[in-house]
This record gives sequence, structure tokens and C-alpha cells, in this order.
Amino acid sequence: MNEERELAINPIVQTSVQHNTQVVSNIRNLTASLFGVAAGTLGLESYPGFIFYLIGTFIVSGLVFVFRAEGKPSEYFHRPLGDLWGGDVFSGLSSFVLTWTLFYGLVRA
Amino acid sequence: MFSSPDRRLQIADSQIRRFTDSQIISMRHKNEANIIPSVYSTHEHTTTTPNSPLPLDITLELLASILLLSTGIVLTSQPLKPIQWSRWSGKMSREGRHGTGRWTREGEEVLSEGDPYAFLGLDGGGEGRRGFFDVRGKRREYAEWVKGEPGSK
Repeated sequence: MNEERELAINPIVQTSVQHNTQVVSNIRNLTASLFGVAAGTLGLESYPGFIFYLIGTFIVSGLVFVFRAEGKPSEYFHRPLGDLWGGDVFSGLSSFVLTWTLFYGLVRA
Repeated sequence: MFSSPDRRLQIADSQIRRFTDSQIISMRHKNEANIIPSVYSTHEHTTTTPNSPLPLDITLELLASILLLSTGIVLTSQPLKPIQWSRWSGKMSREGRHGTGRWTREGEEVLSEGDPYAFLGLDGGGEGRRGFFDVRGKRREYAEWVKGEPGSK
């Protein structure tokens, strides 16, 4: 009820929300495969590889926070915690694993 | 086979030092040339000496290059748009409708999004509230006609 009233007073622009989600998901997809290249080349296996990915996505979220959201994520994301810091983390995981195994196989095996 | 560790570190160091505003845009392309050698040197290292750990300089170069590359990806991405209606429309009315620098195949410039209620003509200027019946104006006209009617007789 409270949130509903808040949205009635300060309405949200859906096209902007979609645009921002798209931008974050683009950044995630590009950087996830990049981290896969690094993890495979460094020869990480099992859990360290996934931890590497999580650290990498955290750093990228920090970069988005500083350079794109200018330190005010609530102005660009409806739920900053879920949309910026946790947004699309698991959708990028598959491309991470793809390049991770590819480069591990190319460089190490 | 490998360049000396000092030289490699120097290269990585100079890459970081070259982190200036004018080069941020071209950074993505420059660093594609930085991540490939480090992957290749890892390949060479593991084929020649499979059981020794990876040298620190290759690791550092790899990590520095992916950090710079992801910074470049973030910086060259499209700017975010404010989601609150007041801030969004305020930004639009400040900046107005302008070209985005992108062009369609037909040769027309793609414009940024404009005020979705501009067709109402609320800002005055032209005809004002096009498509709406001007109730107040008609009422005033009628009142003047009613007042004027007895006087003219």
C-alpha cells in the first residue's frame, strides 16, 4: 500500500527502466565472457573459478555505480540492490563457463 | 622466449599511466592487443614447462588488461536514463529534442526521445491544446454575446 502510494506520487518511466536493464545486461554479457577468458588462462578450477566470476561482476557493478550511475543508483534503478549489484549475474554465468572451459582447454590442456 | 619480467611490468605500468580521458574511448581497441599476448605467453609457458606455476608478470598483465577492458566496456556503454518521471521529463525539457548522432539507413538522423505530451500543445506557443474544445473561450464568447445582446437593441 505504501509503495503504491509512493509510485502514485513519484511515477516511474517504464521505457527508462527497460533501457537501464538493457544497458546493464549488455555490460554483463560482454564482461562475463571476458572473465571467462581470464579464468581459463589462469587455470582456475571449480570453486575458485566461480569466486573469480563473482569478484569480477562485483568490480563491474562498482564501475557501473561510479561511472554510469554517478553514485546515485536509486535515480536509475528501481531496486538498486537487485537491479544494479545483482542484476543479470546468473544470466552471464553461462557465457562465463563457456569461455572459461574453452580457454582452459586451449591454453592448459 | 619470454621478455624479461621488468619489461613486461613496465608495459603494464605504462598502460595504466596512459589512462587519460582522451584515450578512454579507444581503450577497448587498444587492450584487445594487450590480452592476447598474455594468453599466448601462458600457452607458451604451459607447453614448455607444464608443471611450474604461472609467472607473476603474466598474471598481472592479464588481470590489468581485463580490468582496463571492462572499464572501457562500462565507459563506452550508453548512458543510463533517470527512471523517476519528474527527473526524466525535467532532463528532456532542459535538453530538448536533439540528434543522437546515429543515422538510419534512409539517411535520417535518429532523434532523442521527446515530450510524449507535446501533441497536446500545453506549452502554448502555437495553437495550444490542439484537438481539445476550448470550453473557457466558448463560454466567454457566449457571455459577451449575452451581455452585448440587450445593449445592441
